[in-house]
Amino acid sequence: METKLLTQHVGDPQQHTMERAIEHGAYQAWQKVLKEIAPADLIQIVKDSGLRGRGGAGFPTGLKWSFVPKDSLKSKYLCCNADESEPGTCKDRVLLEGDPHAVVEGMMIASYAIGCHTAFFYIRGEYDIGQVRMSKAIADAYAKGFLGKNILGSGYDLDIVVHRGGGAYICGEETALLSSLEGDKGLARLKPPFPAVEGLYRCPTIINNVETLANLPHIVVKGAQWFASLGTEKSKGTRIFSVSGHVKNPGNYELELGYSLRDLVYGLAGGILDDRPLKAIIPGGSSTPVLLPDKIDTKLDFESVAAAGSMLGSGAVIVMHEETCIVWVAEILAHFYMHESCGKCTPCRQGTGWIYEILRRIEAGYGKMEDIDTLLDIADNIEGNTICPLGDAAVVPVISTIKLFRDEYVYHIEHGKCKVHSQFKLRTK
Amino acid sequence: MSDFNITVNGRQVPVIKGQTVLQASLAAGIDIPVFCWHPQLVPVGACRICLVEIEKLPKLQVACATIASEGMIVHTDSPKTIKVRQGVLEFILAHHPLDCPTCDKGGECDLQNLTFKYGLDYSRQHEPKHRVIVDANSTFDDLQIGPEIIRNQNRCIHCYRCTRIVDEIAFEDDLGAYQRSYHTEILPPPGREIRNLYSGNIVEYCPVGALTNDDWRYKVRVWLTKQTSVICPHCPDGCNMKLWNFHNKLFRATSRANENIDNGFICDIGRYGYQYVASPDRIKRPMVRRSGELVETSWEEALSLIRKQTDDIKSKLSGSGFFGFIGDIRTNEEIYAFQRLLRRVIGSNNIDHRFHRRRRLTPGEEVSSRGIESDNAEFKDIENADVIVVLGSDLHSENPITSLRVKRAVKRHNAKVILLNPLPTPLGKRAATLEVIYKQGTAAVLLHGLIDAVVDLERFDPSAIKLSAAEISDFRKANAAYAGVRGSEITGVDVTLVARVAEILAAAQNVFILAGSYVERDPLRDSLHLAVANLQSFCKSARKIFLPPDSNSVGAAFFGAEPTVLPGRQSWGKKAIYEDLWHGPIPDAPGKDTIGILEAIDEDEIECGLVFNADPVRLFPDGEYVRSVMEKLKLLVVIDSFMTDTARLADVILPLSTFAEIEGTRVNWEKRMQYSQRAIPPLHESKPGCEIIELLADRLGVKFNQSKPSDVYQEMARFFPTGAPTTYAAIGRDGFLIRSAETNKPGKLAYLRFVAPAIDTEYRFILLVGNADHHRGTLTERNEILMKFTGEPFVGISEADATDLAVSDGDLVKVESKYGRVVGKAMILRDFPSKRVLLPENFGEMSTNILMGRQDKIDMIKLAKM
Amino acid sequence: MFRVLKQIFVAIPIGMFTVLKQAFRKPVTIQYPFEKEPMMPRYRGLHFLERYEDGSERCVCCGLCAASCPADAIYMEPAETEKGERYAKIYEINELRCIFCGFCEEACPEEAIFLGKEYEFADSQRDKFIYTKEDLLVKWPREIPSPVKFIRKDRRVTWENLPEEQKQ
Repeated sequence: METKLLTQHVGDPQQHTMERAIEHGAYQAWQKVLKEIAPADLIQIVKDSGLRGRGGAGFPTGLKWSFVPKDSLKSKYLCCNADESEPGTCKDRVLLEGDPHAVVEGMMIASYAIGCHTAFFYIRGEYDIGQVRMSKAIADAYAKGFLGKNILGSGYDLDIVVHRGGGAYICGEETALLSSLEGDKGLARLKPPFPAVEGLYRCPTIINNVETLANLPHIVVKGAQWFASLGTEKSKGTRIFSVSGHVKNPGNYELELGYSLRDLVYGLAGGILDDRPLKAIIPGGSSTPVLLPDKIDTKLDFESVAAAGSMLGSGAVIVMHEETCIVWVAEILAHFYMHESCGKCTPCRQGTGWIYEILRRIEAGYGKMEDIDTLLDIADNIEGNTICPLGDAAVVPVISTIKLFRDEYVYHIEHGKCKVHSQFKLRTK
Repeated sequence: MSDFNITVNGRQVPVIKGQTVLQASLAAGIDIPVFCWHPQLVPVGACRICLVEIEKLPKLQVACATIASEGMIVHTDSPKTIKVRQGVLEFILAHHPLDCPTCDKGGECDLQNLTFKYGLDYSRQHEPKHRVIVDANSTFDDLQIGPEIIRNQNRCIHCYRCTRIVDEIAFEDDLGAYQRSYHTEILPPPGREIRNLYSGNIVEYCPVGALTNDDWRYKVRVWLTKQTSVICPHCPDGCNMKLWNFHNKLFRATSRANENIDNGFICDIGRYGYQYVASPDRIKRPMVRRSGELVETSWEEALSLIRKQTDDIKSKLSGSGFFGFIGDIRTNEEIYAFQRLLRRVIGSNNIDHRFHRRRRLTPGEEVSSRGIESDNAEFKDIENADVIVVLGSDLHSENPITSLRVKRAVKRHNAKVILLNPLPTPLGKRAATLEVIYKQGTAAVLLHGLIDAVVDLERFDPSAIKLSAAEISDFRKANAAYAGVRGSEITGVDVTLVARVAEILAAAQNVFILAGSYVERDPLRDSLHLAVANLQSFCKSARKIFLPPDSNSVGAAFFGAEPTVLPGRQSWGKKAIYEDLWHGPIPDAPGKDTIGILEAIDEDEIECGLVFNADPVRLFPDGEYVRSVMEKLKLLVVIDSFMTDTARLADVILPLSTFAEIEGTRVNWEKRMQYSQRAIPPLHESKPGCEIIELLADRLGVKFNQSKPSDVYQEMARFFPTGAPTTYAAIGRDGFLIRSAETNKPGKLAYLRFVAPAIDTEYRFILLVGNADHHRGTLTERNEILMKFTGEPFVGISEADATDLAVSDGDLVKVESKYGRVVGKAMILRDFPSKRVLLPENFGEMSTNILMGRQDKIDMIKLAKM
Repeated sequence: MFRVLKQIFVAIPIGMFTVLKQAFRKPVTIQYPFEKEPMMPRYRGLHFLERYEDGSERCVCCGLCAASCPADAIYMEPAETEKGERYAKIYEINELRCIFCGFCEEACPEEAIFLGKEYEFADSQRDKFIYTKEDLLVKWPREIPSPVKFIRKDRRVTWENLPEEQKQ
């Protein structure tokens, strides 16, 4: 059963207009915050609610906000990270197109909490409709007096600037996003110093995901306790899961955290296409390890999925049935990372390319036995040695698929053709 | 001294607070490999080869960017570190082409060295290497991205040192990294080339052979060459360079990183400016004039001719019938020996090295106006200033490394830079907070107006400066004609702009004033110097430097190449010391300066001259006058390396060795004396200056037995401050400073009297001279590489004037003055003030001095299309 | 006395018979210069500079042979062709300095210089022993096929000349 908290109004085709959004309760939280809640209390509320970042890392949002130095004389900035490029993920798109005012309101609340007067909205260049709707929503908010100088007489100023990205997955990484926002190439930067202390233009900056911000109005209106009542002990609230792959009803499903993966795949998503047996499932976007069917009963929350050997990540569930060649899956994911690497640090720049080329060779049937060990060694050399987590993410598909499906690799190498394809007598690619 | 210790590989390593692990380890002698780190650039951690293991931290950390904290335990040789290092090298080598046999960097390549030291000796890569193809027909993928720089993208290891140097150090935008992942290419912006003045540095600091330059390309292997340490002779910054030679041929010049001066970056003029040494135009043998033509002859014949003729002239006119000119580019030893030759052997005090001054000064005036001199200051004082005022100087072209220091102050300490110039300059576009363009000749008025504006401000605090209220108010009253709107009318500078500059100055804690060649050439030069001193008095704390025109002008002034002072800046009263030292009499009265000499020749009082590497016919502002005067001389001996305009009029020419063929010391504008080694023995039949002077002295009757520069240095050493090194070997890397005690106490304020020059209705344009891109002075046109950047002279005009005259880029225009005319191709300059023309003075085919008159204050010309 | 007799009747005849035996054996002497024995395969004689199959020189003037030569017998100056490639403008070996160790052949990365079997190049003047590039290059077109088994047949590996098994 879906818990429609964030997506309750996205079905309404007029939700993106200001009138309809206000009818459905938009900006109530904002007015409440401006009138009644002090920024420090707001941070405490969010901490108490247990909201964790929805971008993939799952860092507690309230804690992140509290890293901003309060006595700093520099301006503080908020960035909303709408550069959603993780393969399999399309949850933010739903919110940007279907309920943009919720996101705008979330940005306002977050800005108020950290004392920011200029917020930036960084949206992936390919999301055309999302950018149009968000820009319109922001313009409407200015018109209504919810943004600008001395908002609703409270003495608080806030401006939101919209910035379109140029089409790079790396700009979803926070330091590369800041580089891109400053006008430079989207190259990752070293951390420390962390963005919360020295970020955009060397000022304290908070970067939050779209979904995280969309939760804030609900937390403010209904209270931290109410929010903490959803979900599990350590993973509170709901998440939008994008289910794709071999399922009958792919799409976005908003669930309370702790929902069982089996119920999601076989229940809401309608089960596997053609009712074939399940082969592998990626629970949180391509940067998370693959799970075997025996983990189908894992609960979808941060701890349980981690205990099962993977990560909740961005909540993109990719389902593969028995006719999927795992080597081919690893190859196309490696191609993605090779293409999206920013090129600053050597291991990721050269290593992702090398991994892709080896996988392509194995998949085409020209592999050698040493290649598997070479792949694992390259992956070991990349992991932990890069500036940003893209390097770590790139090696995850390789390591996890070799660990769990080594026999397929060996078959490719020894026989020069695909095990799955030979088994099912499919047409060769 | 260190603040605390960290442990690296079991050793205790001292750390100064703020240092990174890498800096501390390198200082202690522990080797950590680097590619993308450079001591002068902000660390980026891009190459990942300096990853080290630090206990209690989960992942390996980059040593170049991790600040060392007390109690850190670092391992640079643990198994994990070694494996990762091999992994990074393997990643780089995976797509690095097998170009070592043909790559110019072979033998000095960081990748080669590190692979031998830390890498694996096998490869497990079976995929073909990535290749960026430039030309499908060739097997070599070299792309010319600038006049001198060639890029081979396959070899690039993406350390980004090149783009960072261009961006962070030079403040230029010539080079960038395009695309992402391993397709990243280093290129200039589309449609442009990399041709900024510091572009050679990216070749020197590229760790591999991805960026190479044309002068080293396919010429020689680095292990065959020998290096010598020299000081660059082109400008008074005095950067330290190395010349690389093999079989006595010079192949390249690189930097010799001196933190006092250049921090490891040299400009392209120094880097490629050694080529004139091997130019085919050099004078190879002595020449004498027979029946009107110059013919080659032997040293013996030339010297005997000189002896015979000087004897004749001396018998008629005695010592005062002779003069000597010496160029500022020579070493101190040659200058000292030359003035000694003139004073002791020939008996004349008519010696000078300054060719830009037009107004004749009586000896008394000359001495008293010497009161305004540069303060004692060094490069690092520029960095510590919070406001830098550049007055009358195209700093970017005249002192490129000082300009880099100004940019460094802007980048690291947020210094504000104010330019006050008669024309817009490249530094203005790159690093200036405010750029003020004043009308040529009105700089003193501008400064006085500025002082008035500063005093006028609310925030001006009279107690912070050492002037009394009475002095300030008297000054303001006297200054009223130059303040506010009235001053603006004279200078052409808007009042609000002056007010903004005043704001910045009044708020400054530490001001540094750099005054350059336009101050020297200003018609009100002396008043301008006094105005600068006035400005200094009104600032809380300010230093000023009058940048000397050439590389050893300071040395020439110090070692007596002027008519009214003796070596060591001694006054005429101390002459007995020198007579004692040189075992003989020297003339009683001070001599004549440049213009005095020229006028004396005109009046037949002087008949013989020695011109030592100087070219008054080309430099002195009134070319025709000088030429006619020089032709009057009975004996003109020119000692030079090239056939200059003056040499063409000579009776005897003696070939002189260039900077790379002599050893000696030079003094830069900091008054730092530095030693330059000899790189190659003298070419052709040229001789080093000291040897020529010793031969002449010997032939004319006095033996000093000091034909080697080191001998001359021994004698010069008595004029140095106590404790200074007396042998070349004792001069260390830092050189030493020859300074007198601080001469500039805030003295009385000087008042200005400004008379506007007459307006000529026919000649309506003002003539300004400057340097062309990649040129400085008269020697750069003999370097073929520098001529690739700007190969021919131009006539710089503003857009407004170009439209008026219907002239576009490249059209021939005629520049004419009362005295002469010049024809050149027009070049339209952006943001150039109208009714002015800029001509470069670096090209022999366009003599700018024939347009100038020695009685004129400002040079006016008219412009017409051909 | 017995000893003397043994000497006379035993040792001396043995010696004489040995002489006679050897006198009728075929001599080992080779009548040089009319007969010439071929040298061993790894014999190091006069150098020669090789070419690719299209005639272009292999030597790129990298300087490794000169650097590795223990007798400092090689001098070279590189230059650039119109195609932008590196080649040796001047390449000289002083065969009198050379000790025929073969280090240059081992050091060469381009399979350009080899030591052949030629040993008959005596002369009467010292300056005739400076062998220039023209003297050292193999003749083109070849009169006899090259004795060298090359690893690299062409300057740059292109798709066409890649061995089949490496194509994907």
